[in-house]
Amino acid sequence: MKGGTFGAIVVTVALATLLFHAVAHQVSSVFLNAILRPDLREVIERSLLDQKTLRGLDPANEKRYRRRFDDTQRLLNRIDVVAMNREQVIRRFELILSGTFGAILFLSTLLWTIRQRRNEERRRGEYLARLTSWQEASRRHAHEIKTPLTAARMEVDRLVTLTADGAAVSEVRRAAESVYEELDRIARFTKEFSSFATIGQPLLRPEALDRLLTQFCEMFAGAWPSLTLRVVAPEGPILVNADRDLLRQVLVNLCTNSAHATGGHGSVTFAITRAGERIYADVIDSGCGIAPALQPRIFEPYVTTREIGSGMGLGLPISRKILLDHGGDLTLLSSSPAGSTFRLTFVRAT
Amino acid sequence: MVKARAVLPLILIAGIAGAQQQRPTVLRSADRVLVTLPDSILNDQTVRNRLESALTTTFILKSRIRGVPHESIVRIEIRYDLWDEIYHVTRVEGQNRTAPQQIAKSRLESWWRMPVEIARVSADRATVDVDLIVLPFSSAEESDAREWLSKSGGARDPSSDAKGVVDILIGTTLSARPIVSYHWSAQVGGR
Repeated sequence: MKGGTFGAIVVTVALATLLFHAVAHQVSSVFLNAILRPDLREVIERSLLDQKTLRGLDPANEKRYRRRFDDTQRLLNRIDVVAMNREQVIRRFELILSGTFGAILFLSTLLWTIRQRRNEERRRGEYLARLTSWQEASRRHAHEIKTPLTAARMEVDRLVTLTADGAAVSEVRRAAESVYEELDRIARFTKEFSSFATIGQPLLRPEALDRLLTQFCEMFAGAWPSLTLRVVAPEGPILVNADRDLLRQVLVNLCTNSAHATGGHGSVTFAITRAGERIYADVIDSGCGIAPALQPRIFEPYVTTREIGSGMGLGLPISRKILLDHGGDLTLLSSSPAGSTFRLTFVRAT
Repeated sequence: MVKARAVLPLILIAGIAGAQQQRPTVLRSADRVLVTLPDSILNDQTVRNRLESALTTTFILKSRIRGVPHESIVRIEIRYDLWDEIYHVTRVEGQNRTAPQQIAKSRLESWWRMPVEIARVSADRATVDVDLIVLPFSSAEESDAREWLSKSGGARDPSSDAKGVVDILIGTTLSARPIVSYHWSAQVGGR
């Protein structure tokens, strides 16, 4: 914390304590004045005399009157003792009240300061983490563009040489095709960014989630024949509000990750459950899991476990954005070396 | 009543409070030094007000023979009982505590005049310093009021730590401060 801020807090605390001290004086005085009111004392004294009078009128109950007299007398004695220490008691009450207030104020200030520092630390940590992500992204961008560019340049050089040497047309065409291939790689790379930048708003329609997942499994199994895919769903149709095309994009992202995590030979299970107006589809894979340090940031762009050249780490952020646009969410429920579970949350269609 | 073998004229050097007060009478009986407190102390308006309350007015009489480190203390307690309209009086001289007596209002002054042994001297002559302080209530009444006040202050739960703190803070506040004090010096000599 800066010195100026701390000084301001100290001054505020001091002023507040002084203010409270004045209030405490009033409170303490009111409390004692209530005890030491002269008319109250008169009433007590009259009560004492009344007991004596009653003794004369009703001697049979003398003991009872005596007991009441003693109790009243004891109260009067206490009041007298306190009255003789009035100023001291007021000062002590002030001390207690002011001390309590000061302690509360001090602790509150301390907690506030600690909280501020922790927030600063957190913000700093988050900024550094983001910076790290950006550095990683820059490295990946550079790699993704530089590799095909270098290859394309080499092919163009070869093309120039071939043309100068009067090479055969077929050979020149092969070199040109290589250049096109590399340019296509760059185009594919930029397309991935375009899809992140232009995620459309979903056109929500009631869809049978169990059927949609089953169809997806059949389709995806063609790409990953050694991967075991299955759907576990409760009885009856499960209708959710979803955009079929966007949802398929989410499923492709998740299952591709799972396939990579299992080396293409594990299993992916879709478990559907109902929870009131919400429908959950848990995607459970038998992969190697996500490193604990990475789990809190897994939905941030450019955060990926894959090597450079194998992906930009945009799949999960895109998927989550799509689910959020659906009124649901995508969360990581658990992850361990035995596998990971992602939860897709949907709004039930009525 | 103690019979004095010899009564010596005394030089009363100073009286801090009550310059108009009568002086106490100091007697010597063998090696015992006896003092009779003057009626003016009882008739002092401040003291009289306390004596007519139901609190225990406590007179602490401290005496010291010059040249002797030992100090003797005599405590006289007087409490008025409004129910029976009598005084409960007690004298504590060193380790000896006389049984509480009940005396009628009219007999208080005669009881007050009874000599009190304040010291013993073996030397032929000695100077005695006597201090008398009058406290408005007893330590038992102080404790009772302290407990009552701390309960009134809100610490009703006996198990709470707050009660202990409040008790300590309040408890050290209530104390019997002297309402009147006196100091005399007297020379005693010749057995």
